[in-house]
Amino acid sequence: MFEPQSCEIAVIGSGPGGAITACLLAEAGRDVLLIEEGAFLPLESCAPFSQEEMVQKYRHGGLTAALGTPKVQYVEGRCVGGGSEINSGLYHRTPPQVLERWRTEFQVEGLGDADLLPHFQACEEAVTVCPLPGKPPAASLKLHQGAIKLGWESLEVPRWFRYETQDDPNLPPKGKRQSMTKTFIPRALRAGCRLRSETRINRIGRRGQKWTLWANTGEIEAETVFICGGAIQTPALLRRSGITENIGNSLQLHPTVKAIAQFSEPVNALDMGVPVHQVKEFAPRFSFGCSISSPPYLSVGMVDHPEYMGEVHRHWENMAIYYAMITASGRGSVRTLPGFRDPLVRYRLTGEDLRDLGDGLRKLSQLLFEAGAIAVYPSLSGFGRLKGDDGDRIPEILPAASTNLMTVHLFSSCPMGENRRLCAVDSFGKIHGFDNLYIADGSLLCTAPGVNPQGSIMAIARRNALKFLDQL
Amino acid sequence: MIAMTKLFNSTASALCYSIIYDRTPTEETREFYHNDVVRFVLEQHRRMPDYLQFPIWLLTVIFDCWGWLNASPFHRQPHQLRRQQIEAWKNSPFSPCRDLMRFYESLVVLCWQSLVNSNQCDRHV
Repeated sequence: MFEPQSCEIAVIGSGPGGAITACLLAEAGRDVLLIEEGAFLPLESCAPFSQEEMVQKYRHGGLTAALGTPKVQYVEGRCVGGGSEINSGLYHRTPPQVLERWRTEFQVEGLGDADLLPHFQACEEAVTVCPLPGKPPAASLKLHQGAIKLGWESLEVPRWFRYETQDDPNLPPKGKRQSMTKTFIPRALRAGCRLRSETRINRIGRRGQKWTLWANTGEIEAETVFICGGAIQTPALLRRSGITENIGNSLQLHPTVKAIAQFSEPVNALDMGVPVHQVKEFAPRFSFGCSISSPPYLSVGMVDHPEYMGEVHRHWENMAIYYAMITASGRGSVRTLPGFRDPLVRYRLTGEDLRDLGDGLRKLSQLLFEAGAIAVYPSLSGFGRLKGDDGDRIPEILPAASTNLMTVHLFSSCPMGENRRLCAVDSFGKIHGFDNLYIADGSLLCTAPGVNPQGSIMAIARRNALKFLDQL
Repeated sequence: MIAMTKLFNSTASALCYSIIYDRTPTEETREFYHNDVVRFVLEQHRRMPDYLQFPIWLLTVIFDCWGWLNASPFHRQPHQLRRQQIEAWKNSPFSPCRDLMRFYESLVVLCWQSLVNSNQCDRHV
């Protein structure tokens, strides 16, 4: 039995952008329908970063890639709460120099550091952004120690996490990620927002004064529509709907190359939790961090080194996965394919990007050996392992054919600003040339921020929702 | 069409068994998760973006037929011949061949290790 098929405001997508938009609009007394393609699952429905989570909460079971040479594997959340339900919860504000570039190049208005500050603060409070209360995981500390030895800048990144108090400071801190299903979505529902999960919007169109949304469950009418499907699904929906100007032409991401480090002492545990250190010495060109390093992830990482697979079985507690993430100059696109449901995503790295990845991987290896690694296994097919004094074997420009890249950060497919040549939406998310049609997600970030983007997405969504409500 | 689907499933299954045989330690191989792994791999194939499902399906069928160079389709070969064919495709200059092997190998290793892990966690509990 479906709820009524009309609403004042339809918000399509319930990730950080959509959840905040729906929450603020509902709390302002507006009639809001929040629509999500995935299921409404509690955060605790599966273990974080498990195979079960991939199946339950990732789009296409996590099997998504931006095609190109090399391909870049990426993941998107497909559940109520979107990416916030599956990511590491590491938080950064948008760097001021990035905002300045958006202002000059894309002519974004009212988005200076001071303009965003109250929105950062409000979001940080709502999702409890805080540092780790106890001892960070050993694998994370290794990264930090290596950086300190080399005199490189390393910092502990805060997370949106609510930690439990515990007596023993040596135990890994326990807590809950403050995802959208823990924060903004319950707030939105309490304020009267209606939520319709497992509802896919196939296309939208203008009919008289209203927007019609054609869903798998029937038609929905709305006076205003916010599209918040993320950097891939938002341009895909718009293009399916015939809205194409500057839509899906400028996808950006943070290409990331990984390396497994093996130490002579334990650095890993089944309850290791999320590593929190990042090395920012070479930012914004590239930065380093440590990834989830459970035995299944280590085994998959070792697919590039089949001859050493046994090392994971015997010594996984001495091993962890690290990454070098670049702020790339490459661009991608999102296109619909006739006869197919899913959008084609393409991405082209530049020679400069492959050079940065090579440099990043070399410096990451240097850092890991400085931290005491006895072997490093880069995610380059057929390359072999590094043993310490052979880091210069890593090619200056990574070979496109054998480099295996991934990313969890995608954005910029519908950039915002007043520069009509480049931008799909205005400075506050309204799609140029259309009434009552907005975007509120990572696709409107003008360029790659060089840091985890969820902080930027949340703050900009809050700012734009308040502007819509005339409360800015 | 049903015959082709059966051929695809048999080939995917044979690939999974061979990868498990080669990539897991002898003591772990005694655990019999093989059919769970095959089921997971086939389900993941169905979850893929729709425009990628057919190329993977087609390449898998071609991979099976490639085995005729050794007198029988891949899924009917003994393990030693299967291993040679997998290695040949992994080292192929043609990137779709390498990608296909990486697709199966990553999924098999992930699923196998997840099952081993959860079994170990259960034992600890």
